[in-house]
Amino acid sequence: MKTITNISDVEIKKCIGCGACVKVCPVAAISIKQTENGKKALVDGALCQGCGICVSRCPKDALLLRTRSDVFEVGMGEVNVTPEIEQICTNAHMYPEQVICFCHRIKAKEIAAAILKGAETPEDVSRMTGARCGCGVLCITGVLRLLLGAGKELKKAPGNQWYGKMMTVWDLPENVLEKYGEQYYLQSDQAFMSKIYPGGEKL
Amino acid sequence: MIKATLNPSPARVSSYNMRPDQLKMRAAELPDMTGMKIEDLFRDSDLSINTADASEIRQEIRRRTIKALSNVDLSKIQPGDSVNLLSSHHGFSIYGGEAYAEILRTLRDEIERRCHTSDIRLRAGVGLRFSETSEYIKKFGLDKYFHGKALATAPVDPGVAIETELGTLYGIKAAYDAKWIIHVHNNDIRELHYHRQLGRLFKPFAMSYATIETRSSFHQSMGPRSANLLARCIYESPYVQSKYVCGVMLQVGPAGIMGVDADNDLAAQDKRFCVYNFTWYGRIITLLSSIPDAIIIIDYPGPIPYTTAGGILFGNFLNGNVDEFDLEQPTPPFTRYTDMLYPDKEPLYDKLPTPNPAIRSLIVNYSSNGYPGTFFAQQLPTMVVGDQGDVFRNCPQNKLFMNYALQVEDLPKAVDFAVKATKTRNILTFDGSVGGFNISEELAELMLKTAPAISKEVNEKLMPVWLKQRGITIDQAAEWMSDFRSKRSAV
Repeated sequence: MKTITNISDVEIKKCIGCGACVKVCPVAAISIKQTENGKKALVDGALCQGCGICVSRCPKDALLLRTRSDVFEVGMGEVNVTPEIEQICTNAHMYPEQVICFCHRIKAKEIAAAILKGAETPEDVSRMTGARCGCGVLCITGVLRLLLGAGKELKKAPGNQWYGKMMTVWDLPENVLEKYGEQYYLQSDQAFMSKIYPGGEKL
Repeated sequence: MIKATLNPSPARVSSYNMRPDQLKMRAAELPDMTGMKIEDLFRDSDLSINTADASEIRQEIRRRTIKALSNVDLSKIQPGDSVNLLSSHHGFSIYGGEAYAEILRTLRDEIERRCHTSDIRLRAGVGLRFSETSEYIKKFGLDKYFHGKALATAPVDPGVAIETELGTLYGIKAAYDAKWIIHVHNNDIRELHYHRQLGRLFKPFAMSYATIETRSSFHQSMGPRSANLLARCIYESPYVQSKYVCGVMLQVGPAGIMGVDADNDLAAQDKRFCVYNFTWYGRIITLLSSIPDAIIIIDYPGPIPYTTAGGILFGNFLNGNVDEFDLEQPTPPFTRYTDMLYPDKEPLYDKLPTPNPAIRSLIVNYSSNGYPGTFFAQQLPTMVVGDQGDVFRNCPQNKLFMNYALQVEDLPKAVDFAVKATKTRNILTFDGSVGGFNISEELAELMLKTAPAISKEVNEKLMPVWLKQRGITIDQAAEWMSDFRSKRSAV
């Protein structure tokens, strides 16, 4: 479980309501509301995990992280690997125990469990597990692969953070393998990664 | 044989570090530490242009940038055209950053002078610390120099779809929002575990200039050898090629700052630097990899794996048990840290390379937050000195770090304990020293004794293999190294 101790706070006077923060929040906790002082960002305290990404992208330094008075926990708790979880992970070429979010050490089985519990989007996964709420960079592909592995359809992202399925070593097209295979060790990487990750035998 | 220690990188005022006054002692101040210069280890090392005087560095780099650009065709850029100088946070972290900043300033001036346009913008990418580049832009006065047209981008910024041979990949929109782009980078060895010297100079096209989705694919969905194709395909896409003018590289080596290199052809430039990096980084990395046991002191204002000395990252040493120049060595994605396949103490796949077993203890005296580092504390016996503990505790990316590390009051106590516990007196420091390392006397003796044999092994045995794997002949390598030397002497 991940303990959430921080929350992002808007300094209303500085906020110009540009929405940059809305587009970078991994849990979609920020919205822009019309107020008597114009458009302003509003943080949903129940969702914010205090990752600080919005703070770093605000062009007016109108956001800051403060310590929460209402500390809470997110996560899937102890997850037993069920056949359904195993299948989602295998479809995504992952071990259930594999770490997907390096910041919070969140494993593939936890993300798969969140999907089985109703997560439909990367934002849902982040709200339920805490993934993508550290560096905000490294784990999006892992999350997308697991959602696809569970047969979910990827809809449009609410912000700038993801655009859909991208190339993996397992689905390199034939012409690319032929053209670049030797120089970039494509077949060799495919063979190696098929050996070390589950699901590789499907190649 | 104790020699004066080298100057460590000064403490940095940054939102990612503790305040300079909280840093009580540097590793170089420990008793029995000695400075070890690269030129003491390898007598034939090229001479660097290092100097402590920032104005001298600026002058020298400006002269060399103008000279390097004199052989580059800028005729595509017409009067009034917009030009983006694409840069990365890393350049600003090399040897204090002044040299890289001066290349950018000089480029701005030269493009304005030669191409008669003043719409020249700086676009500076980051890694995982999204405010870091803004801090550098401010520190080096680049916003003013670029007349308000300096922008720090981040991988969560709006993307632009780039059609490539690998399908649609995503660049950062702001990086490509000019008619022309100039790729301003460096040849520092840095993340060898990712680039494997297989397109080192292309890498920012899938990193600093790319959105998180493309970066995440590079990190997680391809192997470290095949992933480099992502960057290559973005660079070679019709979209990027329609804008690309040239690459300008800060030329560095383990001995320090070496010069500036510019070319319209990035592929040719990359191959040349491949040989250059084998020559200068190959030996020192192989030498460090031969150390049988060591206590590591992290003492630099950067994230743990990116702390540096003698041009080498701690991360390079962390994976010293694998020859990463050797392309026949397959490794999984995110390999060096191997976080991905280490859920607990043991890896999920038993043939995974472990972190370098020579690391007997890791002491973090000074480091940055803003990089997921819990894995290091989980896998290496780790001590954290003083207030640095709070830096990790307060970092959204390292909330768990101190669950696995021991906090120690001061650096001498940490070192005493490490020596007693590990029974080694080989101490290696990553403190930002330029042109060498601060190490213990015992380790200095060992490195001096081993260096000649390592030099021979690299030159005669390893280098021919590395070159062959990249389709470079010995004759080509010799010719390109000779070109580098003649360019240097012509400046």
